[in-house]
Amino acid sequence: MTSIGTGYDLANSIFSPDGRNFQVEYAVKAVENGGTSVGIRCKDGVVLAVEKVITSKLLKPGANKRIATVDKNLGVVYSGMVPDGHHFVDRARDEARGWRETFKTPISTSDLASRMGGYLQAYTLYQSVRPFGITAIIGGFDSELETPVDGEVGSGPSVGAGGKVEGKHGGPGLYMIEPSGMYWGYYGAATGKGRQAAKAELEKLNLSENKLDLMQGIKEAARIIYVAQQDNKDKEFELEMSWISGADGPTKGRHMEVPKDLLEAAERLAKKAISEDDEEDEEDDDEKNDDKMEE
Amino acid sequence: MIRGGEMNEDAWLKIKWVKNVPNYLQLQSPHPPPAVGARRQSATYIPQAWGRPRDDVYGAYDPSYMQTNGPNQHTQSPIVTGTSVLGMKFKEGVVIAADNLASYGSLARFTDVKRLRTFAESSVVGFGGDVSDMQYLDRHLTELAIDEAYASSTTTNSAQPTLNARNLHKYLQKLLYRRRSKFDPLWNSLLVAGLDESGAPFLAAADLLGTAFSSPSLATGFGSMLAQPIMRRLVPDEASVASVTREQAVECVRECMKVLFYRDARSLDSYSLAIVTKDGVELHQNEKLENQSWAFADRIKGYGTQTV
Amino acid sequence: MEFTTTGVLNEDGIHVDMDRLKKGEVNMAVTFKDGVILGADSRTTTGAYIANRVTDKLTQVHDTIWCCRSGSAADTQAVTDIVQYQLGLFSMRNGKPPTTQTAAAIFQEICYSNKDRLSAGLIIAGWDERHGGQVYSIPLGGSLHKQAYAIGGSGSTYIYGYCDAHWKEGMEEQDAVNFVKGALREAIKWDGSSGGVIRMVVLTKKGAIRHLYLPDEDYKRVSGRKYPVGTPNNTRLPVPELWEKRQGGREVVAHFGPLSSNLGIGPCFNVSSELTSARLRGSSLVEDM
Repeated sequence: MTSIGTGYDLANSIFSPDGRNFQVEYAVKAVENGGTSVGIRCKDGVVLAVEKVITSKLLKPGANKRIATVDKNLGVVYSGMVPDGHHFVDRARDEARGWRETFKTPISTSDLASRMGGYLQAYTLYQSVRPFGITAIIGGFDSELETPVDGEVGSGPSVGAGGKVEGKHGGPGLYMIEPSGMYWGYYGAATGKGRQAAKAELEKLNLSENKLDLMQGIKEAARIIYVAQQDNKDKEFELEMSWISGADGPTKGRHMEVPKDLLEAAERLAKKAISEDDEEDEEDDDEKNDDKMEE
Repeated sequence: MIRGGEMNEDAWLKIKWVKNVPNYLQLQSPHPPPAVGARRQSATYIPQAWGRPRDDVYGAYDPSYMQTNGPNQHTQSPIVTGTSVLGMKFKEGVVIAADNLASYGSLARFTDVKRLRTFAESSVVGFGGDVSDMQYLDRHLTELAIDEAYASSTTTNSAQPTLNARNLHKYLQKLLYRRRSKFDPLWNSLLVAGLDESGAPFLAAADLLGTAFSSPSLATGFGSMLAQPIMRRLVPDEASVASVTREQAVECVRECMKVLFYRDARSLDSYSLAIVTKDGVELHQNEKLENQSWAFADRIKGYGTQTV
Repeated sequence: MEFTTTGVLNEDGIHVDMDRLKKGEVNMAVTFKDGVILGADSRTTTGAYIANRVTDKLTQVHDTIWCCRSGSAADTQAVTDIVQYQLGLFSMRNGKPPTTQTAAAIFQEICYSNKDRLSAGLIIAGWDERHGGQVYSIPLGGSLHKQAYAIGGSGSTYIYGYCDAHWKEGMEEQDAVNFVKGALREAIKWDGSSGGVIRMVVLTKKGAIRHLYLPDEDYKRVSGRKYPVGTPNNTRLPVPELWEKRQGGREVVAHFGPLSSNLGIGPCFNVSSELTSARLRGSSLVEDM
């Protein structure tokens, strides 16, 4: 599977004879060692979750957040080298600000993914830089409302603008960007150490049917982080989760942390689910716990 | 045509024509005009001068216009403008109001302009003066609020904005002063309403010069003359704020809006009103003046002795 | 020496008369049931002299985003050209057409940040899938106002009353056309700086359609030309043969008989052969001039 670079892995700008950029592949390795990150695109929003590995007992619980907000309506989570992630977030915020300055409207999830994909790709081209040691997941909710130009005053006709094409506008978006700069849109995305298990769990959710809602999404995201962590049980970790809904949902179109009580409820259910799995290896109905969680 | 210093009829006509053309057409030319006695003008052979106003007609060109080392003058005058903003503290918070008109000189051009803008869902800024500068400040504050949210989310767990109304007011005052010092002022006078760091009601004003002050009640523009005396009856000093209820304050501000509508020729009967308390901002953007007093006009007859 | 920005030097130095710029005079844009309509007169004046009597003040900045220009012709053309370039770039880079908001945002930034140099009053009107028809007004200082309908130019002061009295939201297309025409006719009637023909552009889901109304024919419609979504900007108008091939049918209604003689400028056309007349019918000289 892995071959050694035999001299072709010393710099970004050198291809190996069989057409590989080893530096990028090594960056992917850095990602594969990081705590698992998960993103779920629900019908009414997006959930982001990360397994934050506790590297020292001297760290304050709940501090050093791993999920970051970009503009108001976008969230970023990543696995891999945390300082690289910080730089990624800084750049994403600059892109969002730049977009607002030019177009006087928030950047859309897909446009941010495109900009950041381009940015990471540039770090695979030059001798003088190394690729990002992270895979990032960008979640966002593009407003379904008629968004004003920033600062505008006045209002259009009260009966609504003429000739508007009916149907859904805006909505949730989820993208994953790899060290190569490759980015795709996903229904559910996972990266980091536990990505295989997490992806298997995400596939079972049939997210493409667009039925899962945010409340279920929170619960599933928490459970998936716990499932993905199973192979790594000795390491302590914190679960960090954020969510974004539409304007009429719980976060009113903003990206924010999942409230403490919801997070704790989801964690309790997640722990229960994996302990049940341990007892009976057979787990056929995963809908059993659906009704347990309240608001 | 002139050959060897002689002049024929055509040349005379030409000179007359040159003399009669409008001033702005008398430009320097590479071709010398025909000589007329002593008033012969020498041709300029410097191509850069061709097309320039003739020195003998206009005097030498004064390059001081268009020079780049003089003071850079941005200072404009406001064009689309909003009138007064009113604000008043009460026991638990602040009430602030401004009408929905943007005037274009004396033309009531835009009647749906909301001049109260919320900041970080916890403060309200009321703008008087130029609307384009108000929009600039609004965009600037939106960006500031986003940046503040980044800062507070990475350093603390609290969702509380780090910029309270007092911070916001200080920031705006510094910004306005900086711009006026660049001779490029933001042509606004504004009120900031909200709560200070201790949760107490906060109300302060700042204007295009960077002047700032605070008072239990405040008004900009016409309001400082017409509304402020009325509001002062309710809150003459800081101590009296604690005994004023929300209802009293709102009622007083609404009355003042009515007085302003009667007497300010750049005002409108539709207005916005916001109430800021620790529970957040309550913003009403389409208030209408009620219970106006006009019927007494019936008793007014003539301008002195007339009775019918 | 005092420093001024008017170009006037005191004493007897040179005098650049900034007030004698060419100005455009009345224009408007309205929303209606299926989109927006822009309308304008065709008079451009330099002082009291009519520099152009068949001006086209309705300018395309993207497929279904247009603007009405008033103020200095040079300034508004320069601003519009920049925005047209930016929107073209936007659609190429983002793989989707810009919205009316995008256009309004770019227009406003230019007008606001250069307010001490520009004399430009703009109305931006556009149709996009997300928002339908929208109208934005950017008056002199560079503020941005969203409106159900907007009027601009010096002639607009004469029609505030007419527009307020006759405006209805969500009109049918024909009613909206009549509203615009009625308003512009009043402006032309009372304002010396407004006059000539009435031009309109109707923007809907289907694209842009031009209308032309002439004063000597009681402002009855004489021409229409379709610019469906995707018509490349700045291309010469297609000849009817090509047009029909592309559209699979004749949509163009251009009426040329009495027109060419009324233009008063340009060459005189000898409509002799079938081919020439067909080309003329399609190539819409009036809009093109």
